[in-house]
Amino acid sequence: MKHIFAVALGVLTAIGGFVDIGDLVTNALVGSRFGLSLAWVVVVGVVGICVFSEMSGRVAAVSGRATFDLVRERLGPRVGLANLVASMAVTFLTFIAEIGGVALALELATSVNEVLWVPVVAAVLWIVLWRVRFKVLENVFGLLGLALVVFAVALWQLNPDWGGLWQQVTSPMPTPGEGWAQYGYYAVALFGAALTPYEVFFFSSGGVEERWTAKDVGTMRVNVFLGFPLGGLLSLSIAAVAAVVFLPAEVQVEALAQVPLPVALALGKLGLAIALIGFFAATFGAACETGLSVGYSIAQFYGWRWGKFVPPRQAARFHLVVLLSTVLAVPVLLTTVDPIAVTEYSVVFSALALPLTYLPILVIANDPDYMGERVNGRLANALGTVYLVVIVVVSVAAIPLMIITKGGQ
Amino acid sequence: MTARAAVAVLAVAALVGCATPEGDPGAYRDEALSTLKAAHSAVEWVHITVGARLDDKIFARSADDCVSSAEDSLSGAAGTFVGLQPPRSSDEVRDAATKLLSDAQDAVEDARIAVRRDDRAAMRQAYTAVAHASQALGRAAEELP
Repeated sequence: MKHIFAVALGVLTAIGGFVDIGDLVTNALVGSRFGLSLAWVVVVGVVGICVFSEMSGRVAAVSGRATFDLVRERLGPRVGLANLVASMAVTFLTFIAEIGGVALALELATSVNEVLWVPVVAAVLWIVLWRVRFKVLENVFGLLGLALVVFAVALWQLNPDWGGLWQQVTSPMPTPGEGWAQYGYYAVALFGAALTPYEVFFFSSGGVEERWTAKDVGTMRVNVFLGFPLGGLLSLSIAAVAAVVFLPAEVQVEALAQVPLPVALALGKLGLAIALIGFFAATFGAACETGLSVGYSIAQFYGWRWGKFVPPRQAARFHLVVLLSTVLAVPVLLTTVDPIAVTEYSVVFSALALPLTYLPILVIANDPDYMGERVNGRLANALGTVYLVVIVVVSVAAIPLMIITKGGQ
Repeated sequence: MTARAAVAVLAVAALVGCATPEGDPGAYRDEALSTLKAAHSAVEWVHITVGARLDDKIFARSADDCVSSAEDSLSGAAGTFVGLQPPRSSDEVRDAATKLLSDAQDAVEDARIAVRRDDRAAMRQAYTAVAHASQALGRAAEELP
């Protein structure tokens, strides 16, 4: 019974923790402009994150070390440094976007300007990262994130033309008034949002934090293969309600305030309040994950002690990096830069950095020195290789598409 | 190249640099259409929000946030377009587009005032005015000179 509860809790937190500010904004924006014609990208992205999360989780469970703890050792300092710089830059950008997202969510709930919330959010975030136990942090925000299920309920309540929605899903092409370049740009953004590098940093490091062993691989797989696809359905429901309400009215989503509006139309104030709780949980939870991921990646590269499973005094440099990155994020957001714009760029730059993040996972998951009998099987390798090709294509296309479309305009 | 030729080239370059670019009428019209499309999006956003507030489906604060953000977005788009130098043959396009934008801004401004005051009668009036502005912007692609 205890085991079933643990598995259920893991799946629920995986669902609730799947959506972050990038998913919220990108899915709503894409739904409002392209309907569900880009839903296939979410599906491809979710399968990809499942493939690589399973690999990195298995590495953590079998070797007792996070994937990126092994990158420098296995692939040498140059590849390790390239991996660190690319992934860290994107993770830090995502961290800034998440803090901005929390501030925006609080602005929606209180009408106090987001800029005033930024220092408060950063301070509370750092205290949480410093004081709160890893398991508590993961479970609380993961479970609260389940409030976003309200989008799926709202979709049902809006009573849409299901046939019309299905037709959008099966017509992977731009809607009238949109070009193929814009379609491609947002396909890249959605893919980047689904496979954000920090997700595997956090997943593999979290496995070490929770002291996974080879016996936990089964539970980890259930979490990944059940929790992530259900989380992907949440992303799709956000896109779907935007497609139902905004697409026919030709409204483009450009602010977080717009994202819960379809929920309010369907379910009224109660639905709106639940959606706002979901926004806060999703963004604050992701801010915790990205903040820790910045610390994980640097500490693991330099071989410092890291993590919340050791007392802060023993992982002082790790906590210093987390503190500094939190402090550095504040002035960036105080420049009044639009957090939504930061989010949009962060998901596209994520796509750019993907090969450097995911290639090392595939290499290490195939190394019998670390993995013993638990090296990748044929299916994992076939999927991993296909996805690496896709990732390289997406990465190469990201910047040209950004320039051609002037950032998706 | 002789020194005299070099001076002549520099003088021409300087004169060209001082001249205000006229621009291409086709590109200017495209810019107008793009601005009107963005304005239509903002106005429809206000329309949906005010409708939701009248049906009591959204908090007053949330409605205010939405309408204010849409107003900022509309002002930004209109301000950028108005700042463009129109080609000589594009005055009609400019007049038509600025009239539509100005009407839309007025309607959204009234909506924002009504929402902040939580004045339901004024909100109903604003709802109708915003709907008219939205329809006019929606027809812009066909009707712009």
